[in-house]
Amino acid sequence: MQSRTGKKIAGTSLVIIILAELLPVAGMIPPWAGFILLVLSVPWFLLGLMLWWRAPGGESDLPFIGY
Amino acid sequence: MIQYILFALATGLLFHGIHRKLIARIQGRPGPPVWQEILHTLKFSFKQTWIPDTASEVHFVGVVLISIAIWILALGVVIYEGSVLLLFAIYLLHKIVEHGMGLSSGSPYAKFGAIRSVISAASELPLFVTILLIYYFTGSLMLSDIIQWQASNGPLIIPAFPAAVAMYLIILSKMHFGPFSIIEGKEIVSGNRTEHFGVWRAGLEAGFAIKTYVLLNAFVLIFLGSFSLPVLVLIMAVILMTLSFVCAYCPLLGPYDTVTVQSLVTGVLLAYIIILEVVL
Amino acid sequence: MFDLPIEGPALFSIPFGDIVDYASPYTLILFLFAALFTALAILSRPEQHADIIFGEDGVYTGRIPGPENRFQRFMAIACGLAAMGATVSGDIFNFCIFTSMVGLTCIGIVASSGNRHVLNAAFEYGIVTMIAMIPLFGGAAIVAATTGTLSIWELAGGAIAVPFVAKAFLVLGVMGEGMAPFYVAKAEITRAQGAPYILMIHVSSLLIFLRIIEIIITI
Repeated sequence: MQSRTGKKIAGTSLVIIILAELLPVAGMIPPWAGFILLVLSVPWFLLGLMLWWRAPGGESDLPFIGY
Repeated sequence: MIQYILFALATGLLFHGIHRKLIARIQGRPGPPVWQEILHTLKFSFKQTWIPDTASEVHFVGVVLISIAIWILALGVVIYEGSVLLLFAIYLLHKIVEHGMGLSSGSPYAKFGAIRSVISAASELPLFVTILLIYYFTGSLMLSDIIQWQASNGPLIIPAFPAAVAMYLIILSKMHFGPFSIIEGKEIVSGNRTEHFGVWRAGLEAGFAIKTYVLLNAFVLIFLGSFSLPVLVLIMAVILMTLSFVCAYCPLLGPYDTVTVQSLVTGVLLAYIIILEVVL
Repeated sequence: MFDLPIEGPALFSIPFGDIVDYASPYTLILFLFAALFTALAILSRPEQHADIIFGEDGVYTGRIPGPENRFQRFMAIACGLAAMGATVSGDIFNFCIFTSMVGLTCIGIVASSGNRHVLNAAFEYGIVTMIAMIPLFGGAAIVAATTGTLSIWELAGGAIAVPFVAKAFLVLGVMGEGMAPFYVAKAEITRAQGAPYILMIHVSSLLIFLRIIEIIITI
């Protein structure tokens, strides 16, 4: 997976997180709906962020089989 | 609300660090600094990461996302004082995540971890009986009602002591390095986490940190009542330390021994419920 | 009426006569979870099951052949659909039907596996499941005989007393489908290859267990 994909995922989910924080304050969605949005977006944000800043490179390989 | 999630994440990781430090001190080692798990998670997130050739990709990445998501959901249940039954459900869904984590990579060690996760499904039975006992006393499974019941009747831990012991055992069976953590035993490399390295591992650590926070928080809310945040975190830390003592002194049990212990606890609890029903 | 302090309020309900299919936050989450894992089974490529050749440095990775793969996937999706049905059904008999369908499809998932240990375990699991269906449907029958209805909506909140033995039979029946003391065979059948499909075996039995707990506390 490209780190650019991670950047896109992190950016999109950050927008959703900000919306999930602001919309309940503005009274447009109930607080629990905001929390559901967070449940859906925070995991993507965390993984996207980490995929973005991780060290580049590495080729996929067989699983670890033994010492 | 994101501040709750970040706070739970940081506190949970710190708790894991305290847990490791205490175990090390009890065993006469210096141990890592208490913030080591926070650094650890950051370190894993900076590493080169890929998906193993043999893995089922969508599933391999999906379980990491699901593991974080379900524990944030559980945090929501605790914050909004929802149903204990929902917490119970999320705890069982976590079992599916553990199982899926092991199966998705194609590694034989991870698969062993996954099979052990099925075997350790006996840990759900004490939780089930705990819920029955809570319902017996409070007549409700909503956390808000349980807290109110305790405000007028005193902490639930006194009448429902066996249930508290059972829930303690449940939290213990999810702690790292504990007697029941057979799914990540070192004789099967790292069990079901063997192939989740780098970013995936960091994601899982984040999910597990929230899990530790939520389980301890739920224990305090259900059995001791509602407290202000600093007191709450302090009580959670004390409970965590007792867990660390158990983990430091108990060796890893065999897979079938864990089933025996957990089934016995369930049996004792069922007997307690029957005695309550019949005698009182 | 359904507003019990157990799992939160009913979000919506669809009445079919006296059978009311309802969704509370609890059952809705279970349903979504079953749907999520069914989607995973549809979307994911199966894992390839790396294995060690004993006593050598060699490693081989097994690939599931096409027809077997298709059959496993079909059975996994059927299992997911049965689990989804069990999580939202508002009727105890329907729940029992879906539960027994879960048991059958679980065997179906591993049936085409060539591994002798897996097939033996699946055979044992099948026997346990079939025996467990007797208390399961027996429990439903006792509920129908003593209360005159099978609708969870009608029975909710203890309005009509359901005998303890019926609840015990229902739990026993579901436990036979793959919970604690009876799952030993199930632990073995998860050795079969093909990750997202094999996972459905575990997902479905945990979901029906969660659902039966909700049912016996509600009624």
